[in-house]
Amino acid sequence: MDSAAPKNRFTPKEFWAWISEVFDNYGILILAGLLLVYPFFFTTLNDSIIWLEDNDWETSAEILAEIRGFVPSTPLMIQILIYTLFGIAFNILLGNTGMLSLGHCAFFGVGGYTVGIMHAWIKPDTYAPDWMVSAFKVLPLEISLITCVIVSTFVAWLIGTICSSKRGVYFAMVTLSISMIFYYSAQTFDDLTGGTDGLGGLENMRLGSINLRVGIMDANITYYFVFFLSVVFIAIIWQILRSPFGHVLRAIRENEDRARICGYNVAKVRLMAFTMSGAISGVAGALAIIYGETVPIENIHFITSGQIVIITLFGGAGTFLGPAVGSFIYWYLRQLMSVEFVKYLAIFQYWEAWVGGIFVLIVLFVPSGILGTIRNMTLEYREKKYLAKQAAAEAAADPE
Amino acid sequence: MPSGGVEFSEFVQHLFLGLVQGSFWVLLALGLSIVFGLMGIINFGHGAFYMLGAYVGYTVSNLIFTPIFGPNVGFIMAIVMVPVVMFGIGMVFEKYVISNIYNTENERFSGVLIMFGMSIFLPDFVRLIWGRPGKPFNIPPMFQFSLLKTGTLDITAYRSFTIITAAVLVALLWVLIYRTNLGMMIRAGTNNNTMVKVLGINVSRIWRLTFGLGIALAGFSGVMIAPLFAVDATMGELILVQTFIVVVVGGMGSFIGPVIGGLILGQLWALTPLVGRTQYVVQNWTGTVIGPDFWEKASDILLFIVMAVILLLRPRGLFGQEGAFD
Amino acid sequence: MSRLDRRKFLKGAGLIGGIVAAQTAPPFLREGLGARPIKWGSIHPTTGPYATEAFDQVEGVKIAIEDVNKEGGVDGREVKLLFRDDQFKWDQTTTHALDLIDNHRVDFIAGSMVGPEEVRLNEFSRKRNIIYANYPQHIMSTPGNAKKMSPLFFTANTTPYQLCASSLTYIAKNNLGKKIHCVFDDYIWPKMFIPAFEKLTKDFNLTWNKNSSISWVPFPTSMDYSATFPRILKEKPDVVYALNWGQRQVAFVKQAREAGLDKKVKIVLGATEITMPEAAGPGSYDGFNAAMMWHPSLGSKYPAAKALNDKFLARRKRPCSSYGMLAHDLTRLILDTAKETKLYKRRDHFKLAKVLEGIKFQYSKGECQIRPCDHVCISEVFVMRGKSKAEMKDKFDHIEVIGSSSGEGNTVSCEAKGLKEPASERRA
Repeated sequence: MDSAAPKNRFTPKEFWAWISEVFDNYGILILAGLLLVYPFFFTTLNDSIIWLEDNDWETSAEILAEIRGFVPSTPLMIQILIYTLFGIAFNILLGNTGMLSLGHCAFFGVGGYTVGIMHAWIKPDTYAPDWMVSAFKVLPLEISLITCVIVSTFVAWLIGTICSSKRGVYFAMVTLSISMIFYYSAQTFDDLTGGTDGLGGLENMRLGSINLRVGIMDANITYYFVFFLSVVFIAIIWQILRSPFGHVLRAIRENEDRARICGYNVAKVRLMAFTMSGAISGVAGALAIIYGETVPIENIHFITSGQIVIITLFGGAGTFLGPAVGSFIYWYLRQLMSVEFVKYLAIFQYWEAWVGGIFVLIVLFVPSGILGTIRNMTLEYREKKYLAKQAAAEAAADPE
Repeated sequence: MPSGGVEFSEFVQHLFLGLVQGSFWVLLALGLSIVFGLMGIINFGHGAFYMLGAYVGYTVSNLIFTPIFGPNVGFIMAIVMVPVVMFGIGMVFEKYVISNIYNTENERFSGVLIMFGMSIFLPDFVRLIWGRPGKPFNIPPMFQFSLLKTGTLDITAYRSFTIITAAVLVALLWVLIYRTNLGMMIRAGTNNNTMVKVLGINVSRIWRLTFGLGIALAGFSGVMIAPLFAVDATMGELILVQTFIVVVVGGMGSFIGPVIGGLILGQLWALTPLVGRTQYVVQNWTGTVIGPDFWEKASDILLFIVMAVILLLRPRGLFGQEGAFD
Repeated sequence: MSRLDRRKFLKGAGLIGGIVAAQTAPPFLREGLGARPIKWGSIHPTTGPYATEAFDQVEGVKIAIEDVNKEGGVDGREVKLLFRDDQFKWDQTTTHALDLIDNHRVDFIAGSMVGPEEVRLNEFSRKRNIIYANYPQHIMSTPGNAKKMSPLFFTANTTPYQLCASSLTYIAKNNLGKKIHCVFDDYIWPKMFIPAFEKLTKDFNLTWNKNSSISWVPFPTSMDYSATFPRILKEKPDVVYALNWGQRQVAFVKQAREAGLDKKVKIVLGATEITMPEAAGPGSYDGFNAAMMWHPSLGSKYPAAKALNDKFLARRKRPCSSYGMLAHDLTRLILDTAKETKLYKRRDHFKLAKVLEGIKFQYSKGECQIRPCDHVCISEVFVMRGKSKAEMKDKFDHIEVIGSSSGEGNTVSCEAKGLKEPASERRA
């Protein structure tokens, strides 16, 4: 289709305008397409290194391996995708409804523990109904994922009824304390959950319907599984946020009293937003467990909540894909510092100090998040351009 | 199993321990509460500055003064110097970092995030400067005795000293906030920041002083707690959530709130293990006796339950101002 | 189908790019014997609260691999260390393990510092059939985990049962007292000591009861152990047995000294490490006893231990902790065995595991043996005594060895666990 375009379209200025237009309209599709082929790209890079190694081209293999160190590996991309889904689910509350929840680790952890406990403790021959055994031979992942959605929805609804009527800092603190109660429960019932050591021995990470083994056996398959589920749920969130319901959420964020006066049941809407956010966070937690095939207690700890707040605000809470950018930069920066930079400078052993410092600097100089700032700049630029255009048109129409 | 009830001396000992724990929480919570009340910043870096205070105290005491004047002078110098140094650090930090975010788009979130960033930054920074293993910082010889010792009752000198210091400090803070011009401005700013600005008062100076004060309180509690606990780069993470609980239970933005909240929660924390040792038998719904181990394990989680219940029944906390921080 | 074409295209492009890049490397610059190096993938949390010990592990592995390479490598191949920091985040453990196994094609996976990490890497070992060298082990040895344990899981470390047995043997032999009271942190590691206590206190005829002899301390936020002291004083035990780790142990020792508990009863710490007396200050462990897996002062007894500690002092400017020693010994054991048997390829791992089962080895401490049925390493466990300030020779000299116990009697026997055949034959 490019060849069909007239040639004068590709003057530099026009070219950038075209790029920005394409990104405006199809940016999310382009991103999804890039993510879809990412494993091929990385596998190719890696395969060529292996080929070089096997054929004794050691020096060139080393050079390429150095480059590979700076390219995020497929497993890292899985992790980034999981936290993207978590962040976007979290952003239903933070960016759209204006509620800062510090208790999302509860949903992330409960979703994970549901899948983990089912796969670690339910033996199909003892607990599962006969039809399931005959149909699948083992507990399929579909069943545990559906259970996980149900459980995390219920938990989110339960916590939501208790605390979604609170505002501001109180909301943050109530969610924090309730999530810590979940943490202590997980630690206390360590016969079931494995306590602080985490729950291991998960079996049958297999999608029964298409007989596909996901999990730690093959990173590429897990990547596509996580990618597919994330895309589905992100699309659901996208649809929710651009529906009238989403507009009510933003109305509540901007001015709650006005929304109430307009006739919306604010309490109910907040509760619904909280429940949706919690349920999808639970799915993200389940994905994290499927990815690692063990349940660490860290997933239900306050640290995880803090992490997702950072990721979301880092990318830009006001934008839809902000958490994706935040998640990428957060994990990629950590990986880069702790694995690659340490090789060259010993002071990067203390890379957390660097990450923290860079983080503070980004907050200082890019206050509305990375994607938020880019969006603001684009909008400003377009507004300026539009105004200039309008002024020119006016001048042309009215020569005096 | 309940073993013949609780002796009076045991009860008093637990009250005493609760008072010590409570007074630490009061100091920490006051620092958090003052900063929150005036500036609206939830200070997630409070624990990190508390840890930095302990390390500064270690440096002043063990590396500078102890080799020359002995451990007693070293310790006294530490508890005198640390608040001053931390006050300076807080002021400088406010001037060059936090003041940049005032009146920007996301003012409130930026403040939280900067302090979050500090809680990542400081532990590794401390490891870089002082090394990874924990540092020795012990009770000075002059406090190594007991004031009262009978049976299970043991009122040790150092713990009594911390209670007295905390009480004196709280009194001084009260005077500062309720009896001086500066305190009047802080209170006015907590109530209505815009009005104070309109009246022509230099708000930025007050904010700087207040932030320094909060950091100084964090550092001071760090150096006071260090001889009883351990000086370690991760010590800040552990107290942070408990401090939040104290502030929230007491009520944000009030002075008396954190004080009362800290003392109550301290007693709750210390007396919970005693419940299992009374002669009263507590049973659960199946009729099983809840033994002492349950109550010993429960003292941490009970704080969270108390916080959730108080927030549900009385969202602004025990002494919080109504509607001030929604 | 077009996607497949794309893949082929990308592969071709990558290969061409690689070949072009290879022109920059003349063949005479190639190092080694031309064979692919053996890769040792090692994952440690060198960030976070246990960074000191994790760096000791890394150093131990480095020393072991350097020594193996000096002695000619494994089957003429160089051993290469690929070390990753998992940042104390367990998702990162999976990321690094997948990356190391799939993309870097490591031949052995090693590491772990704490429980969740061990559980994660064990799953990798079990499901992907790769030998996992576990440095500090405490979970997979418990009877309930026999089925979860990978048949290719190996460790040189001691189990909670062994630690407990050595302390209780010391208490019984030296007549420190009959009545024992425990102070346990409320998490899963101390709970693993309870079965050991139940059996061993009966064997040694000590007074101990599961319901009334344990004081629990909330974990992880509460660090004030003094709330347990009134109860201890009321129970009047002869020995207080405390299980805690890291800064919590430092806090316990400081508070026990402050309350004068060490004057009234004998205090035995379930496990300790050289970093903790250092953090508590000179002389603060005076009068305390503790069980330990290794101590640098064993250099006077075993020359290899002295050599290892000297290398550590030269490189890290601090003595070797038991973490460093365990990492070093296990790495040496696996690489040396692989060298002797030439079974180092991934497909030979079960054969190598068979050789390792029941093997006897001696590096930095007395003779150890890996038991076939559950891969528990039967080795010496030492009992320590804290030195007073006057006894210290240098600033790291806080504790000394006063006893040790070893042998299979220190473990839960294979019969009691219900395990008969070697673990490598229990393949799923």
